[in-house]
Amino acid sequence: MQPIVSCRGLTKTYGKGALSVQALREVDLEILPGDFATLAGPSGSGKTTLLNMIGALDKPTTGEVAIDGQALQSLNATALSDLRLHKIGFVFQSLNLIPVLSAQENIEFVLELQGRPSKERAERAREALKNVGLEGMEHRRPAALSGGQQQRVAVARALISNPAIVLADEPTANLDSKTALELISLMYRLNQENGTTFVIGTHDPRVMEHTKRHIELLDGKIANDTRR
Amino acid sequence: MIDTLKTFGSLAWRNLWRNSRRTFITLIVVSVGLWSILFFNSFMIAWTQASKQATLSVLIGSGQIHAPGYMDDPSIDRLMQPPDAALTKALNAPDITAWATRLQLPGVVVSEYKTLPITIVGVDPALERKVSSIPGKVVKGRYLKDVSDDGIILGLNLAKRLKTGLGRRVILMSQNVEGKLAEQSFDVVGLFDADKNTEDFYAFTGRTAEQAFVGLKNQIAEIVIVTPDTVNVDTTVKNLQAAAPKLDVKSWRKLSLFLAASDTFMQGFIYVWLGVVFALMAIGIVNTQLMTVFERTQEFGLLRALGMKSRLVLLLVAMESAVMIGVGVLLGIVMAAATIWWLSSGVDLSAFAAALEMFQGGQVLYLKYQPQAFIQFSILIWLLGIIVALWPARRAAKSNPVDAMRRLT
Amino acid sequence: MITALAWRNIWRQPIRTALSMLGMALTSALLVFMLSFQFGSYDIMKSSVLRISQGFGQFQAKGYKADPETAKTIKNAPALRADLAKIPGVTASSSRSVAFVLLANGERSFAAAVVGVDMKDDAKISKLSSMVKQGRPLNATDTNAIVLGEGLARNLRLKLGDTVTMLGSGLDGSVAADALKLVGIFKSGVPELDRQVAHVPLARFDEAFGMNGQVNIVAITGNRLNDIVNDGRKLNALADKYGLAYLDWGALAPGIKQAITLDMSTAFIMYLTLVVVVVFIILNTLYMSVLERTHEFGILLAIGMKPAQIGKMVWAEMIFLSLVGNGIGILLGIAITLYFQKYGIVFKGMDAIYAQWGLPARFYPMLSTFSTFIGPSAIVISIVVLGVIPYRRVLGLEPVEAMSS
Repeated sequence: MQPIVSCRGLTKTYGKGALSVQALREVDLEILPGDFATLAGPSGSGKTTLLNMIGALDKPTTGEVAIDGQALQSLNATALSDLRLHKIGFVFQSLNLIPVLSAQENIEFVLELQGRPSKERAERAREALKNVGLEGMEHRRPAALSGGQQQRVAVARALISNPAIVLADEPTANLDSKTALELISLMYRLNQENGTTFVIGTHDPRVMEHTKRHIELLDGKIANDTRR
Repeated sequence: MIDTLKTFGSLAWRNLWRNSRRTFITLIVVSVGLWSILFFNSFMIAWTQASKQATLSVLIGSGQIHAPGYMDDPSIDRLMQPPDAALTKALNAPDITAWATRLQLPGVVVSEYKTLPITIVGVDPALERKVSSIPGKVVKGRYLKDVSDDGIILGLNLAKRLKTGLGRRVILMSQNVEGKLAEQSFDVVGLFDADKNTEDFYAFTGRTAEQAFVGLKNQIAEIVIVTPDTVNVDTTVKNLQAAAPKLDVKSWRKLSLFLAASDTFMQGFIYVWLGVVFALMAIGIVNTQLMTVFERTQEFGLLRALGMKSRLVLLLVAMESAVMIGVGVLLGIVMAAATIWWLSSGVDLSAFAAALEMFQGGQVLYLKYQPQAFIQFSILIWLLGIIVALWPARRAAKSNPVDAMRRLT
Repeated sequence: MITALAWRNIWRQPIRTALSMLGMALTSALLVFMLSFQFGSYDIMKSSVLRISQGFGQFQAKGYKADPETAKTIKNAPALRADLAKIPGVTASSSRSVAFVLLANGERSFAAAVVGVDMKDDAKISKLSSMVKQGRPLNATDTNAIVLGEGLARNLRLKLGDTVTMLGSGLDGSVAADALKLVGIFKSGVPELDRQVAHVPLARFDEAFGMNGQVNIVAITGNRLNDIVNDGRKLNALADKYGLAYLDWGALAPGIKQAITLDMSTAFIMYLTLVVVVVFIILNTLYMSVLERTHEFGILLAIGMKPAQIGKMVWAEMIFLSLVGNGIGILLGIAITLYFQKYGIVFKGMDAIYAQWGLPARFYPMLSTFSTFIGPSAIVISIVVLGVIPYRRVLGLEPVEAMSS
């Protein structure tokens, strides 16, 4: 099976000279289709840095990243945007949504960037909201949604373009236990039903309970990678 | 209380440098805004002064003294004696830069080909140089040597129309003291280049030469005075009128009504302009301060959570604004002062001379410091900045500490 | 949706946006009104001064303007006037002759410009007839009558009914002398006219100076000065046909033209500084809002929006903001201008001053396409062009860095 993401010898160094910090040291990693992986580790272990590399948001100091067989080094900013648009979905810790757009519009926006016709956009966005249990909230702006609901919209948006992989960085950090559990269950269900690949950066034990693959980072290196 | 202020002062100063981007934007808005007010104000004043001066310096001067009735009927019957002791003393007052006497009479100039109406002006060349720009505009030949010089200076265009030139002779005719037509030939010793109207209607000769020509002893038609821009010419006129109660003393405002009208109009215009620029400045400052306070909502929440009273938070914001806007104001003053200093040696406008025929002579603008404007406008901007900064700050200070803190994320 | 997004983004900070729009609206309304007012005043100044005696345009022999000599004549004035009658904007034309003479009353003599006028047509062009304060204006049947300016009559110590001696040189170089009866004294308020000008019947002038039907000037008028200005090309062509010079308003009233140029250039500097200041303030505010939203731009980049698309969105925001602000400004400016266009503006205490120039005391602004759009367009265009600064900043954004801010 061809991996969706493959990283070879990734290192990332911030700063220069004596003050430089090595966030990643020689990381090799492959994410396979259908993976539901958690990326854990204490603060400063390099979780976010690694997720940014995989998400084509940041470039490694050395090493290579390929997504769906496409090497990232050679791509410029516009090509990287295109790649993210079609192949990658993101769910961030908070402030995921565009505040001036309604829930439905936030989702439609991705389709619009892909150049989809408006009728298709509206249908698919409504469908996606229904799928994450937000039927009837289509026209609410983010400020009128709870934290959990906002994260569900973010999940729906991340999935709308049928990406090869969805990356979530601490998606439950600002949620209460019940809401967090619901969000994780939602993502797990989507993984089971549609086979969507998830990589979730977290140190939330509630999340780790659901995982099929557990990756642990320590001081910029993969300390543990187990499948259940 | 003093300690609190001290602490706040140092806190304010440090906060100023903490968020360099925000400080930078505020400083730019305030300093560039104040700079534009100060600089353009000075530029505008210099501009209107220069255009006024260019016209006044030809012949009008800052003010004139005549015998009563001369203005209505500028003839040999309406002359006056040279200034007496009292008037001379008043004329030599420090607020008058220079003064000169003239004998100005209507007449005609006759060449071999043509007769044209003119005003014959008898001048004292040494004094005339200080009050008029005409001596500096002689482009061919020379200006008059002294008060008894009986050569004549004609305008370029007039000489062309008369088909005469340097070294040739023309005949002047004018009514003499007895009411008869006096006639005498004069050598053309110089030609001047001014606006067409001045060139066509004025010819200059020595004052005593003209007095001899029309049979006068020492009577004159006018005294022209020049005062610096900084002097209120109305006061000068009042003083002169007191020294010579029987004569007719007039400021340039009465002598050139059109210039006075446009001067008044321009001054009103400058005030409208200043008002609008101030309104725009206020908008700019409110907007930056709104952003600043919005960005810092959580910080104020923290201060409130630590137990600081909302009034003290307000005080802190006020002090910060005072410091920040104060620095901006100082920067603006320095920038404006530097620009004006840099341009004080003159802004050459000769490139625009073709469009601005009024700038006959210098075509150079001299910018001056307007100390009063510097102080007034700077303080106004500073206070304005603090006041508008307090408005968003009030919102922040009043807010619930928990709400404010939550905005953190 | 990018357009909708841009539009909504403008209203995220309603106070700030309202203030920015207010600033632009104020400035552009002021520009609309002031420019309309200036153009309106200029028009009044030009027409009023030209209506006193000169007319809206004149035909003269070439070189007459630089050096007005009676010998420089228009040979075939009737044919020229017949051609002028065919030009739609020209409502009337009139022949005049001018000579510089000595007018004498006994021992007293003064230099004056004596103008031969054909009263049948001249009253349509010149208002001097209506400015006769003593006696009566010339009429078409007068033979040896003369009308003098007030200053000239006073200097010569003349009363109505007195005889004035006129001494000049005729077309053939001979002495032209005549004795004329003073029938009227005019006061125009323009010192040059009142002190220097005398009017006599054209036929009498023709005879005294041996003109043989030649004249010096053909003056024209129209309903509005603009009609004549618009006919400029035809009038110049006609001047070429007859080998003459055509003088437009600027050549006839150089003082007014100079004053307008000076006023315009001073005003231009003020307008320019206003535009510079308003654009600076608005750009600053816009730039600020871009800085504030850096995190959001990071999210947009992450979900696959291209940097150039974000840049265009920001640019669109600026265009919307400036269009709305200046649109309001234009409407406001038009409203103010139309109000004063109806009721006029009076400058208290200035009437005496304006009378010297033959101007009315009440001024009316004149709204035109140019005065309405030039100022606001300058603001909009500057903002749109300078919008490249935030645009470029957005282009340089890195997603990770942007999101962490």
